[in-house]
Amino acid sequence: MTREEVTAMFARREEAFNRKDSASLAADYANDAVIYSPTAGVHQGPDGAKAAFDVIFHAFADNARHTEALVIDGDHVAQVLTMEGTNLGGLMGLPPSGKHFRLPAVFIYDFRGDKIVRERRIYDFTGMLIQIGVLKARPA
Amino acid sequence: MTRDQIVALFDRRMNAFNDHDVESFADVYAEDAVVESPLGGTHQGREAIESVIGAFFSALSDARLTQDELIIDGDRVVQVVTVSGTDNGGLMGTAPSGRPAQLPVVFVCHVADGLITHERRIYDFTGMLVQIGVLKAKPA
Repeated sequence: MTREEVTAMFARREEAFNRKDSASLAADYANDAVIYSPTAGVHQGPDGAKAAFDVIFHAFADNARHTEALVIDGDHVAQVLTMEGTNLGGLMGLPPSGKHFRLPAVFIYDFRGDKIVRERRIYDFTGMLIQIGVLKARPA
Repeated sequence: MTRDQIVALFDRRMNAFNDHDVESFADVYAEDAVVESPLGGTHQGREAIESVIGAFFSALSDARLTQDELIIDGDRVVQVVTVSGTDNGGLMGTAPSGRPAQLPVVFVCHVADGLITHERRIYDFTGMLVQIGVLKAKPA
């Protein structure tokens, strides 16, 4: 994909994410794509991606992502973003806490043609669980 | 900077990290470079960069870094690494726990004139504190 195509794709994906359109998001993954997510675990392909997005959208009905930068190196792309949402639906089998999280993240992508074949998400996952009330932390 | 120069710069920094050579580590940054770090806060200049990484090496004296990926887009660079080490010196004023930690870390950088001018570090900082025993986390 050209730089312009990558940029347009990420703009489209951000819009899809913010309207919780898991089917559109999932369609960008190759059948053998592997997604490494702290929240959803390792999952594969469009079906795995859709199921994971649906879990996230259920937990955080107001979930939003804001892309701050795209670092594009051929088929290798880093997305620097801010994620936020409120735990309105419950996560990991726990009831909703009503608590909000906001944190920076970096997602790393490998493309084959116009499909994502690998995505790795890195952020302060433990901090997020504390912010939304799934975990409690105190000094040891 | 050319791609080869950027690759060499990040190799230099990785080698300095693994040698625990704080001076050589700080030398890859511009004199007025700004680093945004969950552990060290936002700090500026080589002296501050040396001080923050020195404190980290005092806490985790076997700390090592391996590069997972390097994404280069003009003067913007995203480096993903795996950092590992053992809290045998005490971090953030706590007693040494003797516990190991291993986690992916992302450096989102700007480079110019052969040096890093700005760097933002994104990783599971809270998870690292839990791994090495500075924080205790439990289900809420």
